[in-house]
Amino acid sequence: MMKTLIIHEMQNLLKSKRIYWTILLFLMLFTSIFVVRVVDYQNQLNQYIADEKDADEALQAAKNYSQIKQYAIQQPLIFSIYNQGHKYSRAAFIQYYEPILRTISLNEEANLYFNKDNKLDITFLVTFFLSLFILLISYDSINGEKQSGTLRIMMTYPVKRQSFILKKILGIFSFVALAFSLPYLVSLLILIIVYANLLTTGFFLSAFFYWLLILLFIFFFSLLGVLISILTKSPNRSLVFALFVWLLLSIILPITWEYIVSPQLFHQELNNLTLTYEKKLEHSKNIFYLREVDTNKYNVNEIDINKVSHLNWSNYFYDTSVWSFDEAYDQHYRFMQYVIDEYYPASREVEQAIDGLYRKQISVQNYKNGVFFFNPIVLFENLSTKIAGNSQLDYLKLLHNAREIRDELVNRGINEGWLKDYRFFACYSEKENCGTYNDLVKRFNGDHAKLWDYLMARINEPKEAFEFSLPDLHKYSQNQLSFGEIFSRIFPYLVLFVVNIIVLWLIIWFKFMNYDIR
Amino acid sequence: MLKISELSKRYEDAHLALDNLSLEIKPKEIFILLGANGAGKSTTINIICGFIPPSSGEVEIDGILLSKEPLKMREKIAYLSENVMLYDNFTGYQNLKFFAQLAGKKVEKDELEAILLKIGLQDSFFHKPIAKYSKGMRQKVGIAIALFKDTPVFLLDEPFSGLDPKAAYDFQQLLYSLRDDGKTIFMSTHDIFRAKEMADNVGIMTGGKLVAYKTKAELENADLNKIYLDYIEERQ
Repeated sequence: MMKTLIIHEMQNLLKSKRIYWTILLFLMLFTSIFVVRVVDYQNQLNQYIADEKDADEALQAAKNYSQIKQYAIQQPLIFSIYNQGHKYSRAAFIQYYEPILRTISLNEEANLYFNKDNKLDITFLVTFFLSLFILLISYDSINGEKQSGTLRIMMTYPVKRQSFILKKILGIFSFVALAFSLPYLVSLLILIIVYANLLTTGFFLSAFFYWLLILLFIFFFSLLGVLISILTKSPNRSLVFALFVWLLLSIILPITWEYIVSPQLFHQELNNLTLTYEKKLEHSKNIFYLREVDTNKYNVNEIDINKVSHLNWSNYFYDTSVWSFDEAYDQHYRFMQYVIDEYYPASREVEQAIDGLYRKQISVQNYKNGVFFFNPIVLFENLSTKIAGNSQLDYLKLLHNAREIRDELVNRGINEGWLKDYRFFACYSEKENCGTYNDLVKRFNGDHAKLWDYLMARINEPKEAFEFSLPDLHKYSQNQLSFGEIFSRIFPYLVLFVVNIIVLWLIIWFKFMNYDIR
Repeated sequence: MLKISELSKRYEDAHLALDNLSLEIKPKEIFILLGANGAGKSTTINIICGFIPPSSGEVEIDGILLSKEPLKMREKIAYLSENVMLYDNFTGYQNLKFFAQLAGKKVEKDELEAILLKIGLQDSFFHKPIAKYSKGMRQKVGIAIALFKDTPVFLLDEPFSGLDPKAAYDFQQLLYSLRDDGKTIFMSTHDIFRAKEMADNVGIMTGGKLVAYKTKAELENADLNKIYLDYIEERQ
């Protein structure tokens, strides 16, 4: 009986001419979006592979030359097919600064690969319009049958009201679930065929959980549409009501929250935290650039920042004006002592301040997630990052890992002495009296190759002094989340959906049991 | 047998739509309920069909009580309204098939088409959407659906409305044959002449009350029109 009812409901929806164009539009939308996703995915994957390659090379370079290289501790963060290009996307790696004592925080501007365009992620449109689609086919599911009279004739058959309402809900749900799942599976299939060698288990887990959540999303909105149909007398009224509910849930309430409620509630606190962070950051910069130096304790002339820095190995080598390794050594040693004693603690305070700010932002976001769990944009912004493992909390975790490694290295560097060694940090200066690269090359009768050999030899001098265990840095690599981990992350959302589905179901049940079918 | 005992219905707005109605309609009987709009005819049918609950009283069909086994009661009744209500997107054949499945009948294509032919629907329309049917054609599909349900009791609410004279005549003959097959037919109408022609027994309702009950024998030499009007005027 129930099978007959559900199949009939789905056939009825299929035969309804008014939704043909809607189905067509959505099929086109889903398919095109997923095709775009595939292309995005390929780009992301290429970037990911390039990042990993760079990281490996840098790690090798660090081992070879006892130098902490820019890429050595970079994190090729997990990418997500869902949020690439979205404003919350942080397709970023965390840059490990040199000297290694600097603050480690989220730094998008310094990230070469960070997408600054903030381009709109069109994937969220799927759920955005999906909710509208569901409401458009369910708004007259009950009162439409009442108006046409088929509800009455149905009720002269041994069909329980519970069965009828279940048939309606399951029919709509199955129909939309199919309309969503088919293009989703087709596009996944294309992905598998074209990029089979590049896909990971994690990708399929993410794809599965995303699909699962969207099914719950569809069920929730199917119930909402049916409830609207029960609560309103005529289909015309329920159409207006449904559109209003959609606008309210998808646009008006989130905007109200974002621009009115949330600023009222959290603006002052976030502002204070931002100010604290900025002050501490300014303070730490002033220390590093010797603008806030205790002149009773330190002789500024002996620790000139312009004479002390690291030698950037890569493209800028020939632009670097080499001063004098021997003269630089003393400068460098004193400066590093100053940095360890003064800058390093200040840097930690900056980290704590920015962490506090991020944590507050995350808690504000969590309020929104709880209140607007049904909102497609919220669903996308949060669940996709949670599933993919690149939520803000994931980034904080990575930052902490990075800092742990830094602290370990710094402590080892201090204890083993190499942190203050000039061979760890070559020096340069642009000041005329320090000489320039050209001055230096003259010492080798203009022979660049000889100069290069000289520099390399100096830098490659006794390596033993700087040897430290780099394999530890591997813990910085982020592993793909397991099934259990993803499940535990989305569990609160599953509960929210299930609870709300039960509540809606009970309301529908009560209302329809007392529904006047005449 | 359809037995209605002291059936009353008072709506939430305190309007008494049905006042202590008691009736007994036997198998092989066509009972016609006459009454003006608001007399209580539709309320009676609505209660028997289970669309609305009665305020008091009971309905019984072949020993099954509406208050005790409402679902089983539905297996005993076939309902046909003035405006036959069907799924417009489905064809006449598909509508019949769906409702036959709901009634738990085994569905054979030949059997379904035969019944559509029997009630006089042109075979070229069997597989066209109901939306393209005339009112009379819809009525015929409605009749086919009710017939296919094959229940002991038929509840017909103004069933002749919209039928052309030929179809009306055919339908009338069909009802006679159903009666002869032992079915109980309960029909409400405004049409006094058809009532006199078809009914084995006639009831007249005004203001929710059954004010007159006439047998075929009583009606044979009487002017039903006059009786009806007298009761209506008396009530007003």
